[in-house]
Amino acid sequence: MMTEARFVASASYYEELEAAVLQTPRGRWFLREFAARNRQADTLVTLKSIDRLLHAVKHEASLGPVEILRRELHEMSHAIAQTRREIAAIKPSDPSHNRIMAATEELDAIVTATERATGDILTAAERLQELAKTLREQGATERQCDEITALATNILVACSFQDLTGQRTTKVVNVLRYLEQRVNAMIDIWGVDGVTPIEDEKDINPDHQLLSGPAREGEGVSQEDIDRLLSSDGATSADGSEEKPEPIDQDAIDAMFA
Amino acid sequence: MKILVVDDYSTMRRIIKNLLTQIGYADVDEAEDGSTALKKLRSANYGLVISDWNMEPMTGYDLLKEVRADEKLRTTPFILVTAESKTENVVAAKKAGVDNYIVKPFNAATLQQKINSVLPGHA
Repeated sequence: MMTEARFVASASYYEELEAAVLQTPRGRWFLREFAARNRQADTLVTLKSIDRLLHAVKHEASLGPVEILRRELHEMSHAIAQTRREIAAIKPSDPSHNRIMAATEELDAIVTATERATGDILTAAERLQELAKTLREQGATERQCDEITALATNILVACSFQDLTGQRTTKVVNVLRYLEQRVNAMIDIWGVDGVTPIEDEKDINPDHQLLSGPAREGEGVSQEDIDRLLSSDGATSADGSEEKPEPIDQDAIDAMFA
Repeated sequence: MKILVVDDYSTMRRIIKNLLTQIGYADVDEAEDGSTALKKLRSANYGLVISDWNMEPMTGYDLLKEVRADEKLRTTPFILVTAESKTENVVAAKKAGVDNYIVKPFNAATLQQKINSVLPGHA
């Protein structure tokens, strides 16, 4: 018997062998059966491959939107966390440090201070009108008296700016109050207790805490208090501790020098 | 003739009152909102109303409509002096029956001119 290693196949040998097998009915049956079985095996392999491909395509297609949704949810979660941190930064740790309320009070203080200043200007203008009248009665020239009266009237009319600035400021105050309500509502909804707030940008001015603008009514110290502080030897606290940034009243100042 | 000046800002009432005195109207009364003004108008005779628009609880525009709807007050001359300067405001006020309309800020000459236009006999 010929071994596998020594056998060399050729096209003529295949044809000779096929012709020999085809000569008998059993040989012909064998060849038909062999061909049928091999064809079925190839088809099954191909069908299995197609089925695997189809399954893979279907799986990818079904996975796409889910993956997108998962990514969207992740981004939403990140945005929610960021928003909570932003809101936590708005929420004052101490109610007395509510920035919106502080801004509202500052604007109210502007309206009050402007109203007071306008009242003073009006009083001065009215006094000028009275003086012009007195001068006229005392025989001063008509032209000069008319000019004083006209200028005083111009001052009076110019004071109507207070009404306009007051109305505009009131609008801003109302917007701030509205924002405060909305922010408080968001704080209640989001529950930011325990959330790490986003840090404010660092102020490059190291003396930032010293700058708080004009003091409101009842706050700060008077010029007399300042003069007294500056004319004495020590302007620091009696115990040498660091000064508190809050405005101090006269009693506190007196205690410092006791 | 008595004039009623209606404005929620005391500064404005003081300015208008001063200007009115200068141009010869010494009998001037004040109200700080529309509802107070309406009560005053119903309790005394006024020859002219000079009113702001933006006031609470009753605006000058609402006061104007109340005055025009009141049988006894409907012919009272009414001037609006206001910062509301949109066309729609002026149109609405005209429809409601305002006699004249002054936009803030204004000067003494404008006030006198508008008063003269609604009170020609008093010029």
